[in-house]
Amino acid sequence: MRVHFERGKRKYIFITAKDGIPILKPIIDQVKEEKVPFEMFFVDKRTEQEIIATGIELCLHQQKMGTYLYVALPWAELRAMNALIEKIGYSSEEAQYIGFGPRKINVFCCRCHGITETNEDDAEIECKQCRLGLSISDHYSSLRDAYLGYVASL
Amino acid sequence: MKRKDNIEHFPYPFKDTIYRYSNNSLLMEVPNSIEVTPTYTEEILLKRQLLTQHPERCFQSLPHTTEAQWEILELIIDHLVVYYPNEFKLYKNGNNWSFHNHALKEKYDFILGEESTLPQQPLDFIGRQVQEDLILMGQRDGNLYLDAGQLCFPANWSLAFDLGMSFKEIHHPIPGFKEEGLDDRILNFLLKLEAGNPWERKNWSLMAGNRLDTSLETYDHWGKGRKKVTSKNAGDFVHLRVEVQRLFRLPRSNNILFTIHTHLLSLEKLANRREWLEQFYHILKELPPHIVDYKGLSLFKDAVIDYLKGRLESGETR
Repeated sequence: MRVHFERGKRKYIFITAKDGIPILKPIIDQVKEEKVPFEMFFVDKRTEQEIIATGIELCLHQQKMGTYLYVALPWAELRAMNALIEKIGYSSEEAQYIGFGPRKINVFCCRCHGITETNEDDAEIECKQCRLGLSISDHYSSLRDAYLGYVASL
Repeated sequence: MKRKDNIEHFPYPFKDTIYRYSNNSLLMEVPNSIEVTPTYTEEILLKRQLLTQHPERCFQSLPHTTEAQWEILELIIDHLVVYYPNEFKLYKNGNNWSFHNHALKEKYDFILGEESTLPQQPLDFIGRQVQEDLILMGQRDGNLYLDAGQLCFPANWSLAFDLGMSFKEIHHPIPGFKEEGLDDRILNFLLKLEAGNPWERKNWSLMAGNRLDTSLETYDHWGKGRKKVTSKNAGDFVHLRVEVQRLFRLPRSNNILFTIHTHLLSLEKLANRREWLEQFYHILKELPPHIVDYKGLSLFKDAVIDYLKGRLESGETR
């Protein structure tokens, strides 16, 4: 996933894990070069309580308008962090989310509406609820957080 | 349930001998969101049966839609009593309303705006009185969202999956829809829809069988019919399926009501009209592969063309 520098912000906050540093490095370098204030939080494999203990939630609450977030985390952790940031009140225009590593997706069964988690690269799966063979489409529902699975074969 | 198709009430959808996706909406002369046809009772009973057996498949609503649902209820009751005064009556005493459906010998007393006085949510309730499927598209931030719907006779899509989606997200699976710029053009058209000036369009597909309930949820059952079509059985088995879609701006909520009335006509009956037979034969012969595929015709288009060709050559039309 491409990450781009959003110039002209009052402050930048980087939220990442060890493997996310190479992804964010070009942006961090640019921020340093432009001498804009920034903070960095590491949330490697932490529980929710440990994440709170880093002070990240409090920090995000205290920021003024014009603060911009870069969040580079493994896919599995990115979703929870995205939810936390939105809950605090940041819009999608105030943050970039970069996922890395193996990604799991949800598939919505066209027959029974059951949700089956699978690997992003899978083309066909079996619905874990009704056992129907599903062909995974690129039709995505943000409400269901799932891709639509069609009948794989008649 | 065996349906009776009716050529007199069938909204034949074609004007040209080629078909492409387009915004083929026309301003309505009579601003009526619903139509009561001779199959009213059997279709209402089928709708109610589906709603009872498969509530999540047939009705969905987001919590913020209650007021808009009431607005739809008022609009549809108004149309029922104005355009079908013998079948439907409304008696008002302030907000105490008494709605009489003489076609079904039913009476409902409720207080306008008080959901607890209705047996279902307002959209679900009024949908059980009309043959149309009803979709509420919420307008906000320069976009339209599927906020609620009662959908018993879908053309192979899932209300439960599409709930909450924007207009473009809903139409994402249609090949060429975005590439040809139709998504922006139609969305802009809908956003500018005015109260009091409703529009109507027709959409079509071919159905192997005569089910109205062609939901995505049951595709593994009815989809198999597509493999059974031959040039011998196509006349009786295959039906032209036409959706009459009507678009009404709701002035209070600024949302859009989208009504869908589905009609079926067997190819045998269609072919009895020579001009329809000739035109539909040419349309199918010329149809581009991406439309053939999206409309689900790939498995049986050739058999249907053979059947229509045979009818053309035999000259057995009226």
